[in-house]
Order: sequence, then C-alpha cells, then structure tokens
Amino acid sequence: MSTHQSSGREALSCFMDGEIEPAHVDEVVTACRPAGDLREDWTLYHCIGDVLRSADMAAHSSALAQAVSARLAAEPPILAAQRRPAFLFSTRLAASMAAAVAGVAVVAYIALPRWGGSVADPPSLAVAPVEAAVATLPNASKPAAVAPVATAAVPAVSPEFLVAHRQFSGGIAMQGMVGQVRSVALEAGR
Amino acid sequence: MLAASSAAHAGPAAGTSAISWLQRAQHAAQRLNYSGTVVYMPMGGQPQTSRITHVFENGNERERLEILDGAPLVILRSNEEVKSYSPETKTVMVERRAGRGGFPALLTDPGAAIEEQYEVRKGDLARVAGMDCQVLVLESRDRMRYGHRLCIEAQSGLLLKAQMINERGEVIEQIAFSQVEIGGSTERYASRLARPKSGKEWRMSTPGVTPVRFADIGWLIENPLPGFRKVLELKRGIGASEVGQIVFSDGLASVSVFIEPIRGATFSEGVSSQGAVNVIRRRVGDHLVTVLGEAPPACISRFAQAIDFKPVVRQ
Repeated sequence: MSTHQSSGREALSCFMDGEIEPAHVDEVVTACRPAGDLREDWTLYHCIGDVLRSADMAAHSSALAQAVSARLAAEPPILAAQRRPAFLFSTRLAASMAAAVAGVAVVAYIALPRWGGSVADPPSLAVAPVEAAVATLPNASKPAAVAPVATAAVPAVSPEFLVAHRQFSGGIAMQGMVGQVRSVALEAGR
Repeated sequence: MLAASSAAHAGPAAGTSAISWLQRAQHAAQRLNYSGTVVYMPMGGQPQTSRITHVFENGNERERLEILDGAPLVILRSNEEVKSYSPETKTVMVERRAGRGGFPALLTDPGAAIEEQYEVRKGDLARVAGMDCQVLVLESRDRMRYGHRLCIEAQSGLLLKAQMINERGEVIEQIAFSQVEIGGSTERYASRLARPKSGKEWRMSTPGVTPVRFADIGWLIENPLPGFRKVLELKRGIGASEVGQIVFSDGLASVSVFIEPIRGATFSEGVSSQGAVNVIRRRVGDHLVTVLGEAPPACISRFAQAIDFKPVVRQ
C-alpha cells in the first residue's frame, strides 16, 4: 500500500467523521469523484457503514455495494464536511474492516479523553484517534486483542486483567470478550 | 417465523411498564429457544461475530456459543456447567458458572434493584434483525454508571441489541443479533447444539482460581457507591504473580479491583483507559491496586479511593 493511498484513506476517514480541516475537504472530495483515488474506499466505507447500522442489509451486501456505487456515481459529492452522528466506532471500525477486506490490516484505536479535561477537549466526537501498532488479520492464530492505549506516562494494564474482569462483567462486555477470555484462560491452563 | 413456543411469553401489552420489559427480557434469555448470529462491536477494536443457540427444556438450559472470528472456540453450557473447547490447543476448560450473564441475558445480578440506580424508560420502536423491537433506555441516576439502550423483540421479549452509552450520550459498545430465530421446538435446534469433535489427545483443564476472603487478610473496601455489591473474590495467576480480584456489580455495571504485590522497583500508578474500560492504579502499602471497569472515570475513582489495607497480625 503506497504512502499516498494510506494518507488518503486517513483523510477520508477524518472527513467522514467530520474531523477534517476545511483546507483538506476539496482534496478529499476530488479524490472521491468517479475515477478518483479514493473512489473505491468511499464506496466501501459507506457500504460497511450501512451494513453496520442495519442488520437487514448484511444479507445483501454484495448487491448493495454495487447499488451504493451506482448511486454515489450519480450524486454530486458532499462539499461541506457534515458531522456524522456520534457513533464512535463507525468509520474507525469501517476502516479496519475495509483494510481487512483489502488484504491489508490497519487497526485504529480510539481512546477516551483523560478525565478532568472536559473544557480543553476538542468539541468534535471528544475522542482522540490514536493509531496503535499494525496488527495481524483477524483470522490469525491468536485472537484479536484490544490493543491498550495509554499516555506516555502511564502504560496500559496487561490484557489478562481485562479478560479476568470481563469474565464476570455480564452483558455486553462479557459476551464480547468471551473469545479472548477463553483463549487466554486456556493458554494459562497449559 | 415465531412458532408458538410453550415457553414464550404472551404478546406485548401496550401499557407494559419499562421495568417489566427489562424483567421480561431477562426471563426470555433464560427460558426461550433461540438461535442466531451475534455481532459484538467493542470500542476501538475489531468486531467479533459469534453464533449462539439456546434451548430451555424441562427446567434445564442448554446453550452453544461459537466464536467465528479469531481463534476458533466453542462453548457449551448446561445450566451452570460450562465447557470451552479450543480446537487449536486441543483443550477443554471445564468450570462452573453461577448464572450465565452475557448477551442476551444482560443483568449480572437479577436480584439487584435496578431502578434504584437507573432510570428505565421506554423509547420508540426499532427494527433489529428484521424484527420490531421495543427500545428501552437505562440512564444512571447518579451519572456514575454508563447508560444502556436496549432493543427488545416485541413478541418474545428477547433482547436483540444492547448499546452502552457514555456520559456524553455516545454509543461506545454494541452487541446485537444480525439474524435470529426465536421459538419453536427444542428438536429444531438439536443439531445446532452439537458438541465439537474432540479426541483422546485433548486435555482437560480447570481455571486456576481460588476463592479468597480479602477482608480476612486486612483489605477493606468500603462500598463507595449505592447499588454496588461485592459479587466475587478470588485469587488467580496473571503473568508471574498471584493476583487477587474482587468484583463489584450493581446488576448492570461491573468494577474489578485487582491486588498484587509490587515486584521490584518498577510499577505504574495513574489513570488510563483501554477501549470502554477506565483504569486507575495506585499503591496501597506493598501492593499495587488496579481498579477497572466499563464505568465513568468518576466511578472508578471512587472505588480506588475506597480501598485500604491494614495488615492482619497473625496470633
């Protein structure tokens, strides 16, 4: 993946989150027009975003991708950087899914702002996207771990703590981390 | 799609209170037959897909959960006995778990008086996995816990989607059925509950945890917030240490307190966050205490301040 393309993808992602600098909007929009650099990514991000938001569409995603593509080709590009609804993982997640689909794994992590910093925080989604290490594809032999994010001063806790916690969390967190919980427990049991 | 199941609740009543929808959802998760595909979206991480099948017959629950992303894993549950099969490591972990917890059963502590800590109100109707759902919104009264937005299938009462909402009203985590069948006879689901193939070369293991009473050895944790109660305390091996873990829950939110001896000169104190989890570490005596949970920073902070250690002198 070329450097230019990866920075273009990053810009596209920021654009869709409403976080891009006004000066860069034109550049991104041009690249998203038919035959532009980011055309495919634009389509893919929207397709993935729609799939994420509507379970109904999951069954028809391949046909949808074509339909979305055709529709986007016909529409004029959005010139104002519109703020998307506050759905923290929408495009970041879409970015990682798109990358996985494209055969390249790039994982972006979102950190909550430090607490005690409410006034100083930027007024957008109030999250600072932090790009962590490039991880391997989801179906590698180890389960995909949530890479910890911390400031320079405070290192992250070991993932085993999170796993141990989520074993008893119940609800969303427990179900979600079940795979990792079991894998780590099984490793430890060896 | 929804066959008449003997275990299913009657259809929804228009005037049914919000809290009764919540109770109904908890009941449905344990008492209905259902099977579907679940997608979990953690904050800042990869989505994880799993397939779940659950049946209730003759007073017994059986369930099979298969993780479809990452390392393959199949978890079979029969009431409280849980067996986790890992084809990659050829290991079966056997343990007893009181109560299941986990989507679509949301509440960790069904006895908890949820309404004391959360305002529970009905929202609009929503459509999830092609089905009409009643939306329930749970908002923390003291702003010390994250809120939830739930989509509960209108006919059966089964929870189809749950979102965790932070202090700013943003969705930070989500888990939902992307496809589900609800109701029908147990026979219909029998083939989906199959035990994975395992062989003689497979190993059986048990989780390396030991129950402990931390108060007996001098650890005092005053319950800092209403509604939270201690649900578990044990010791487990993490890395090279033996680490104590005490879990508090208010029925929906959970906080874990980890206690480990400080090894050598290096340890980290301070505040951090990982995904939806907020973390505080502080030194208490010769120990490093780590408090973490899916809860606002202020909540984690209260717990961290509520911990004290007075070594018990053995006679």
